[in-house]
Amino acid sequence: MAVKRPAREVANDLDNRIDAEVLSQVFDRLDDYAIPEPAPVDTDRLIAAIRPLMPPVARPASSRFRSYALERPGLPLWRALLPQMRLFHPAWWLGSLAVLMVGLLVAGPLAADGWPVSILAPALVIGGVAYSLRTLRGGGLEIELACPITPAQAILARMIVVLVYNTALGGICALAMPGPALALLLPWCASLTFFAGLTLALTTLTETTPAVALSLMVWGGLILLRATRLTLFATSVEGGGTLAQVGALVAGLALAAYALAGSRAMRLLGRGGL
Amino acid sequence: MICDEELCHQVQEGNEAAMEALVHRFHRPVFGYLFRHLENRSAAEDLTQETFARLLVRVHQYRFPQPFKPWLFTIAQNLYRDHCKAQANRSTVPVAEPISPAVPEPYDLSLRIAERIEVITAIRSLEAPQREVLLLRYYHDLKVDEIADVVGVPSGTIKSRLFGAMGKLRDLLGAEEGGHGREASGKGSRQ
Repeated sequence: MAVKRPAREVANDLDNRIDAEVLSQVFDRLDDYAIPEPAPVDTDRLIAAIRPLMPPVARPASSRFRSYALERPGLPLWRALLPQMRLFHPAWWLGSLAVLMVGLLVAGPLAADGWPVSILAPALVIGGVAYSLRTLRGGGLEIELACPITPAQAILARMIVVLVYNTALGGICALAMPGPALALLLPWCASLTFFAGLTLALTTLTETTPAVALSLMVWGGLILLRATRLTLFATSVEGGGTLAQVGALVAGLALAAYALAGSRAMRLLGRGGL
Repeated sequence: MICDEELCHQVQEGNEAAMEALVHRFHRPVFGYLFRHLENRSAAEDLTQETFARLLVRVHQYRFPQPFKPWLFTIAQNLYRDHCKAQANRSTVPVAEPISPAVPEPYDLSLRIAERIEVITAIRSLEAPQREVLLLRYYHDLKVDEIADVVGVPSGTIKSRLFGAMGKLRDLLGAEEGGHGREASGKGSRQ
């Protein structure tokens, strides 16, 4: 007796605790459970009844994004960035600036205790990634369907907004602080890039909120590990500190590349993570 | 052919043609699912209409490209549960329609009718959670994970219910290991 496909599938579902052939016999019998079917006129009547509940015709977000990008000729990067910039509301720009202002206020006491200002960078960038990947109505469809760019490019554009803005904030910080600017800026950029890449990579593996929580845990862990001379957050470039910071920079870029490669960016879209 | 998910997204944007296509595609399955639960045509028709009405009211909650079919069946399932609660509160027992299987070929009419009544009785004898899983898995071809989403319980529980349902049907319908069972009618009615 030929075993039908549904029987094999259900047998697999049940870890073959019931033989596929037996299931096939049961399914043959189940096919006898005939029921009445709605006539075409019933379907037409149903459509007429629910038509008033149709949502209003709206200019879809996808079209807005597409036209916004296409109406503004320029470099491809700029065309990718412009639509994404609209996602960042003033609250985010001002909020990040406020965090940095607080950081500057506490930088003096922190430095006196041997803590670098770059220790604040993860908070800014993790918040920035979470903000830029926040859920929008309709998930990430506006990107997938209509933008003249790929999903990975769109995500990358958002990351660029977050990183450039936070790097600029770090630059302000470096100018305001005493000492060589590079010694302040390198750990800041390393910290930003590493945590941006980490949060983005984690977001492709789990939901955005757990990814942010995990990144925060890593941040806390690195702060604790600083006591054992792990030098991502070192104040001095001596003793391999620079090497560790460059390593963090490269690791951040690698993690971001991992997140944006292949189908992972699409999975992020699929979960409505954008 | 445009996939269900894409059609649903177009409905979100107010495309009536997409809505009509979705209704044409899913009217029969949703009605069949509810009819097999309710065993009452009129009630199944009412709940089917409510299902599609709720689909439109809540279409903005659908997130592309999540699978559309489990999402739609979740709506139908929730409405069926609400219906059952309302029936229980009214303290009147809902009247199931008498078993009236579709009329088969005349030459073995009585035998076929008896067999069909046996199947329907066996399915009705399943506990509600088992029947729910069986209907979604067999008649509507949803995967275990999708059924878990519809019913709102873990996949392991779905497998357990499916195992219970299939074991009971095997006993009631007399399927045997290595046996040939009844010959397939070749007129499956999965929908």
